[in-house]
Amino acid sequence: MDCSLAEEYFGDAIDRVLPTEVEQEFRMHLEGCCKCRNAYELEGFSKQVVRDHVKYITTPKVVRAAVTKSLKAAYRESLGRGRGWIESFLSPGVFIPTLAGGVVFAAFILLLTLRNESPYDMSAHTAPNDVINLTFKNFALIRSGQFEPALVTCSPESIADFFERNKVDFAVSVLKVPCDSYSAIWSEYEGVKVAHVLYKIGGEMLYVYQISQDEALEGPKFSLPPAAKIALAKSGWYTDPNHPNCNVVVWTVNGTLCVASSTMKKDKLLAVLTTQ
Amino acid sequence: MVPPLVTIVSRGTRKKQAEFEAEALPHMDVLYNFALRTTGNEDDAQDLLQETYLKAYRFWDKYEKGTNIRAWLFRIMKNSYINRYRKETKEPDKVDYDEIENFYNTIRAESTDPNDLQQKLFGHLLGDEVTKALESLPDDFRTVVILCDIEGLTYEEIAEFVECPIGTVRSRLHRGRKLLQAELYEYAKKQGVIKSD
Repeated sequence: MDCSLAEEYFGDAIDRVLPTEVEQEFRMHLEGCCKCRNAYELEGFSKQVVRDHVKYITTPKVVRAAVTKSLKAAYRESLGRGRGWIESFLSPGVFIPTLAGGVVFAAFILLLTLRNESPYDMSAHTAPNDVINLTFKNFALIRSGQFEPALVTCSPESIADFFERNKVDFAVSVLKVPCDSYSAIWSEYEGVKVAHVLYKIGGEMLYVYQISQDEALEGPKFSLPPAAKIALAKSGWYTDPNHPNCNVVVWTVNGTLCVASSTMKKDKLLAVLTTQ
Repeated sequence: MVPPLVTIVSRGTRKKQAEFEAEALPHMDVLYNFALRTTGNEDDAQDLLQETYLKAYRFWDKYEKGTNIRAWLFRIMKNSYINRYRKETKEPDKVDYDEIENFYNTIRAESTDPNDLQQKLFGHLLGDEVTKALESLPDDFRTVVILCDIEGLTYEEIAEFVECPIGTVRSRLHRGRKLLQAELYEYAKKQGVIKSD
């Protein structure tokens, strides 16, 4: 080992992270080279001097109080912002007409559905824990900007790594399609981990809600329409018939149940999902 | 109708506040020390600390739960410092390293016994002098020396904090310590501990 190489290892030796395969050679060089030995020991002294003389200070009470005070002001501000839009919305001039319009609209929809719905609809997905229902709600939140991703990236590998890091305990499916961006977030529903992946493809959005297949089909916490369970058992795919544009597709892959909801038309959505 | 909806918003915000305080506030001492060593004075350190915590609260939703929160807070502090306080940048590659090499040649001429040199150079130093020497280092070098020698972080943690490769951390640490020795040598000369040339 020559002096220039030994010098590169000074820091590692001082900080006790010298690779074992290098250590013997390094120590032998120091024993035989006075210049390097002096330089190494001086560098070690400078670390020791900093540790001995630069005292660690507890945050002074007055500083801690100032930080806490400014945080409390920030809390009040964020609370005020939250209240502000709600109180504006709930003022009589806005709320009552909105409520009246909503009641009329709901009555109209009810009338339409009552005419078409059979006593027992095998594809109905209105239960609060229905996976298709949950997918729709989340997609609506995403499109309104209320459900923000934890990760946005141009690399599908980063999405897979994200879920692995966050210990999502099933194989998250990442579609390998050319995208403007991939986004990811994970959450829990009744203690069960849920993976959410959003693809932005040329101005359109494709959102895929994913959970463990066992939890979805056999567990007590989620439900699926009977028609979906039958179709998945037969072919591994199900397209929801309650949406004329058919922008909801359910499938299983590698022990994971995936539910896609998208702004894309049916044929394009199926083309994207079936090219995997 | 108003109170329940407002209560929902309030409850959500209060939950966020509670989470933030539980996770972020325990790191205040570490952040304060770093702010103090970086800015060099208590008033600026307090301002920097306050700004860091306010930004951290504002962007709390962007923090990925379960990841290294201290690294996240340090990055906010570092960026705040760069934006607000660093007016004169001392770029590492503009430091005159020939001067540092000459320092080694000088001290070798004076003594071949590093223990004797340790006593001469460092035995008479006070805490203030060492702090001033540290503060005189270029920002990038000072940061890694503080994080390694005072905070005791590993090279990997430092690389994550300062967002550069581990090799760069090693190099800055090595050069930072050598610069520190040169500064302390100058102090020792001014004190008459070492004879001037």
